[in-house]
Amino acid sequence: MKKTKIKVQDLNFFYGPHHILNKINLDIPAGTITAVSGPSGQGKSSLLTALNRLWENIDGARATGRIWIDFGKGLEEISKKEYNVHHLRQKVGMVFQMPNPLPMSILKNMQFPLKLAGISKNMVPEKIETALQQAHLWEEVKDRLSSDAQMLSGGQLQRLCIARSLVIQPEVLLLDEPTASLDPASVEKIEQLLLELKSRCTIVMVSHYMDQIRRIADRNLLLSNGNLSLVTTKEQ
Amino acid sequence: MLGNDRIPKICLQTAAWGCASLTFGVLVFMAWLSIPVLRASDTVHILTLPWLPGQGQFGIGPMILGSLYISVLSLIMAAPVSFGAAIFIRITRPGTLGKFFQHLVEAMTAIPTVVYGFIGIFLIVPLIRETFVQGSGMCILSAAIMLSLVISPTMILIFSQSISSVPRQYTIAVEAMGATPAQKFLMIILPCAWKGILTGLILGFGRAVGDTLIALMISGNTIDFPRHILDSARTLTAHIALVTAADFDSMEFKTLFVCALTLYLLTCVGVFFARAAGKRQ
Repeated sequence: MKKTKIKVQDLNFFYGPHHILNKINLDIPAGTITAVSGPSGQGKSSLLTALNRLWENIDGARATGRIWIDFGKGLEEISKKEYNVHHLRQKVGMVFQMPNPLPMSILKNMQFPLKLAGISKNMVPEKIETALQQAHLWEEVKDRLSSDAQMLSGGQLQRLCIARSLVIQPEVLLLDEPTASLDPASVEKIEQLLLELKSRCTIVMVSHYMDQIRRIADRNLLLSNGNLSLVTTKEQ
Repeated sequence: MLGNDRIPKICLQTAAWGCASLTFGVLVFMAWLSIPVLRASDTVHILTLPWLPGQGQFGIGPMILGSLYISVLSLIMAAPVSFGAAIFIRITRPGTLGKFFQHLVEAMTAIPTVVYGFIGIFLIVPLIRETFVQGSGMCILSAAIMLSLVISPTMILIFSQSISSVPRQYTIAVEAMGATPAQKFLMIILPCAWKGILTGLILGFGRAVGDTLIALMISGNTIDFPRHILDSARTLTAHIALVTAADFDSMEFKTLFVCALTLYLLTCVGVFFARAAGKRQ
């Protein structure tokens, strides 16, 4: 039995007048890939934004309920108002459906989260290389780190965004349909990457693709009409 | 269908070329009409000597200096205030309060300059006079304060537009990385909005240099070289307005073309330096 990494209790999510998530209760084990599937508009992305409190930056969004995450010192309630949200987001990385590189070079994109986290400059090159290697992008970009990130292909951009999330070594990685806009070869690379990553961080991923969920997810949760149900686990 | 596209294309091209030609035409026109004056006396003297028509000396040096003093000082005062207001409207309070202030600023752009001039005469001029106990209060500082109020709304609107044009995908990406609001602003919004901010500064400077009424009403219109911000001064625009009102055929009048040409070139130089600074950024 794996240790609980994330615990969600009575999570309600509202977007304007709409009640999106209805009293969600959920335990996510450490070192696993949990997929969240379901029809569009059911609150899959909202569930992810509740886990890093990104909803607080979205106009009209509101969440109630309690969420705990274990960052190595036991479960800490991250939904408390006084919990440092910036610290939380450095521990809980997020990758969006559309790759969102910043308008700067590949290297500066990778340096950005390290700068935010105040990590010493001496450590930066090593951390960047490690993260790019983890994202299987190092070989493709090592000779052009100073090139504009926008010059990369869609698959490379998404791997850059994953590498950018990994560079500060998050303990949880949230992925919102990370392969939705990619070609099959890029999808395969990212799936491989996620399987390698799960030993280092707990992954929660929104996906529409059942084949993908079967290939990489340890558990599949179905979100429908604001309610969450466990559909399958790897063991089944 | 392709044939139909040609007509609007030609219309738009004609409009664009028309505007460009008109702007260039004004420059040529002013340069052409300045030639007799520049030939009659030394160009350097016209630009640097004082205005003493009684002694046959038509230098516009004091007016150039007056224009520069007032416009640069007003820009120095307006830029940080406008920047702060734009941040308030777009970042700090982007909701109802921000929208209210945005509408207020939009309304301010429609207020005629003469109204600001009146406010300046009855509010700022006595205040400066009593605070510094020097002169009439009609001075560079008073004019610059009022002029900063005149140029601020335009600058606020351009700054806030450039801040809001930063793609949401960038800001949400840095928010998800754990950036604080200050980090988000300094590391993403400011570099992305820099060109728009520069445009706001250029337009603000252009408006300050080109304004006539505020300077005419508040700056005191003395034709001496200003040495202090509490000195009276006359700007190039105010000088053109004052001389045109009294004369249209004398040597004094002819020197106005040099004034207009100088104003034109002054604005061009300002734009050039601002653009050069923007490219280096």
